[in-house]
Amino acid sequence: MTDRGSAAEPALDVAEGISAEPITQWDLFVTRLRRHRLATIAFFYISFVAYVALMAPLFTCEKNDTFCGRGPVEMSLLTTVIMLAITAGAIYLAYRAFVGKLRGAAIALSLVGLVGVIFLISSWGFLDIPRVNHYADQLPDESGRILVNIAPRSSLPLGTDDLGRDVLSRVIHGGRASLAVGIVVGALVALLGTVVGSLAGYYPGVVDQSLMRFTDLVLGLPLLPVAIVVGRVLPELRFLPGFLKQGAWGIAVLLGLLVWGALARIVRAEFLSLREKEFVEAARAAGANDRRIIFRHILPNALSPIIVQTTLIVGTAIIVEAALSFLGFGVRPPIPTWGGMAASGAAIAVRGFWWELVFSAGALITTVLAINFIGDGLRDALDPTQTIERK
Amino acid sequence: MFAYIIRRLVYGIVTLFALSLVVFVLIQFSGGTPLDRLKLNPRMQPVIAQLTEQWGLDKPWYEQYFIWLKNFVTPIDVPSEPGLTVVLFGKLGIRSWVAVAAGVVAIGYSVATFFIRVKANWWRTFRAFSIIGVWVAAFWIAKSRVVFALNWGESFRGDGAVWDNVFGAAGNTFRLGLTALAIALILGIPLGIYQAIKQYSFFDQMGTMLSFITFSTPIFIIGVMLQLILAYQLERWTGVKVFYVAGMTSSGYAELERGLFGLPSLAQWGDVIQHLTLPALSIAAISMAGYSRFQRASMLEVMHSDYLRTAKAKGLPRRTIIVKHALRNALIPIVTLVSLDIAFIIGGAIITESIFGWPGVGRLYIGAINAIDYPTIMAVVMAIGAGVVVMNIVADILYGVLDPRVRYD
Repeated sequence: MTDRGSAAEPALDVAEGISAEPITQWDLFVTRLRRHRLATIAFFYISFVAYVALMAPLFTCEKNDTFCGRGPVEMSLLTTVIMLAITAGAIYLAYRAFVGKLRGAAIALSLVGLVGVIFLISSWGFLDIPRVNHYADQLPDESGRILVNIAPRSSLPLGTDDLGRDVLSRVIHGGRASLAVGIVVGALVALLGTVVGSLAGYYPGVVDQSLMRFTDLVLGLPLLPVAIVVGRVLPELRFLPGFLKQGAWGIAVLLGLLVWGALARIVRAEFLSLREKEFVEAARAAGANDRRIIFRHILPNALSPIIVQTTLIVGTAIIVEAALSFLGFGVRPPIPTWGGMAASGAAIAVRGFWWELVFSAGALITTVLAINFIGDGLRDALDPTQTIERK
Repeated sequence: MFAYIIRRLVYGIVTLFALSLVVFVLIQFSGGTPLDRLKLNPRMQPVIAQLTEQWGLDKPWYEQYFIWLKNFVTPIDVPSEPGLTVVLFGKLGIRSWVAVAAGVVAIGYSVATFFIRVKANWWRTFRAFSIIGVWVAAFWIAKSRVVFALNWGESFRGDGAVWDNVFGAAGNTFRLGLTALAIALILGIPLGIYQAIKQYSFFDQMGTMLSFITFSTPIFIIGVMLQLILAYQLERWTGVKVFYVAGMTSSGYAELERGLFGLPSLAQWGDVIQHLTLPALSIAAISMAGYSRFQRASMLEVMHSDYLRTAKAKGLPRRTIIVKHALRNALIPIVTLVSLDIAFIIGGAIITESIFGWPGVGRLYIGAINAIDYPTIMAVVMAIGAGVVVMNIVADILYGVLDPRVRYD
C-alpha cells in the first residue's frame, strides 16, 4: 500500500477523475510489473542477453579474416552514429516504459534496443581490445603461438579454452542456442497448448476426449530419455533441412513438440470454467458465434495463465537443451553452446582452468534465473485478485 | 474407484505402446547399425552376417518392431541351467525373501489403507507417507531381482541379458534416487514450514532467493561444482580425501572387514557414504528447492484459513496451532508432488550418473544410445515410462484419498 500516493499509480487518477486518458488493462499490468523489482531487472537482463546473442556476428568473428586477432574491428563512422542513435532511442523508450507511462509496442521496441549501450561499450572499436579468436577455430597470436588455457586478462576478458578459443566469443555465440530454444519453444508451446487446450475446453465430448487423450500421451513420454534419442538421431535425418540438423533449432523444435502438454491442460481447465460464466452466456444470447466467443470473450480472460506458464516452460526448456548439449546429444561441437562449454570446461576445471566452466555456467544460470523471475513477476502482475501489499 | 484405476491403467498401456513405437522408429534413423564397430576387422565378416541374421537386422523395421514387441512381453521359460539369476522363486536367498516380504506387506498395506478408516489424527499423515513404503519395496525388489523375467533379449554390445543389466542398474539408481529423495524431504519440508512461519523475515527472503537460484541451475552444473569444491578443493586444502567423485565403492571395498551376519561393516558403510554423498546431493538440491517452495505455499494457505483463525481466537498457544492444526493439513499436498517427482529423479539420475560414473540406469542408457544397442535402449525407456505412468496414477489416487472433495468419474 506504500505506493498509493505516488504519481505512477493510475488508480489514483481514476479515483479523482483527473486523468483524461483512459486506464487500460495494460497500464495496470505495467504498474504492477514495475513494482516487482526483480522481474524488472530480469527483464532488462534478458533483453541484454537477447540483444548480444542476436548481434553476435557484429562483435565476434565469424571467419579467420583479417580482423580477427589483429586488433580492433574497424567500425565506420556511419555504423557508430546509427548504433548511438538506436541506443539513445532505446534508453529513452525504456525510461518511458518503466518510469513514465507507455503503451505496449513502445516497450517491445525498447527491449530490443536498450542494451545498445553495453554493445557500444563492449564493441571493440571503442575500447581497442584486440579480439584474439574465432569462436570455433584457434588463431595464433603475432608470434605464431596458439594461446591455450589463458586466464582472463585485459586482452582476453574471459580467457581462452583448452583449444585456444576465446571464451567470451563462445559465450556470446552460445547464447544463440539458448535464445533459439527460448523463442521456438515459447512460440510452439503457446501455439499448440492454446489451440489444443481451448478446443478441448470449448467443445466437450468427442473433441475434448480425443484431444485430451492425445495430450495425456504426450505428457506421459519421459522427457529426457526421449529427447536424448531424438538428439542422437537428429543429425542423421536426411529429409530435414540443414539448419534443423546442425544447430539448436532442431533441438528447439523437438523440445517444443514434447512440452506443450502441461499448458494444454491448464488452458482447458481455464476454458471449462470460463465457458460457464455469465458474460459468455450473455455473448451467446446476443448471437455471437463460437469463433467470436472463443477469441473475443474467453481467450483474453485465459491469457494470464498462458503467458505465465509459457515463460516457466521456456526456462525449463533452456535447461534441458543445455543438459542435452552437456551430454553430447544436443548441438554438436564446434558450434558453441553453454551446456557444451560447461562440459568441456568441467574437464579442464580440475586442472585449475576454471574460467570456461564458470562463465558458461554463469551465463546459463543467470539467464534461466531471469526468465523465472519474469515468470514470477508476470504471475503477480497478471493476477487481478492479488492485493498490492506484497513487497 | 476401481473402474477409474483400470481406465487409467489402460491409458497408461496405450501411452507405453506409443512410446515404444516412437523410440523404435527413431532408432532406425540413427545412421548406423549396432554391428558397425565390428566392421573394422575383416575377419569379423561371417560373425556380422550371422548376427545380422540372428538379430533380424535385415528385416524391415516394422517386422523387427513386432518381433521385439512379442518378445518383450513374453516371459522367459524357466531355465534349468544355473547362472541365470532371475527365475520366478527359483533361487531365493535370505535377501530375496526380505524383498518378497517387503513387497507383499507394502502392496497389501497400500491397498488396505484405502479401506481402513481410523479416527486418529495421525492416520491421514501416516497413510499419506505410505507411498514411501512402496518406494522402499520397489527398491528391494529391483535390487534382488525377485520377479519373473521377461524375454528382453541379449544386449547388442555383448554384455549379457538385458533384463539382468537393467535390473542390476535399477538397484543402483534406486540407491541414488532414494537417498536423494530422503535428503530432499528431510531438509526441504522443514525449511518450507519454517519459512512459512517466519513469513517475510530475512530467513524467508534468503530461502526464497536460494531456492529460486537452485531451481534455475541445471543439475549438471550442481554436480560438477560439487565435484570441484567438495571433492577436489576440499582434498587440496585439508589433505584428506573426504568424498569420491566416481563409482559406487572403492576398488578395495570387498577387502574391508565384513560386519556381523554378512552385513556391511562400519568401514564399508563409510566407504559407501563417501561415494554416495555428492551425486545424491546434486539430485537432492533441485528437488529440495521445489519441495521447500511448495511446502511454504501450502503452509501459508493453511495458515490463512478460517479454522486456524478460530484456533488463534480460542487462545491456543502458537506451538499447538502450528504443530497440531496447521502442519497436518499442510503436509498433505506434498505427497502427490513426491510421487510425481520420480520422473524428475530418474531424469536427473541420467545426467548425474554420467557425471559421477555411477553404474545405474542412466549410464546404461547413455552407453546403449552411443552403441545403438536397441534392446537395452528400449528396455530402459519402457522401464522409465512404466515408472512414470504408475507414479502418475498413484499420485492421482493419493490426491483423491487425501482430499475427500475430489471425485473420480
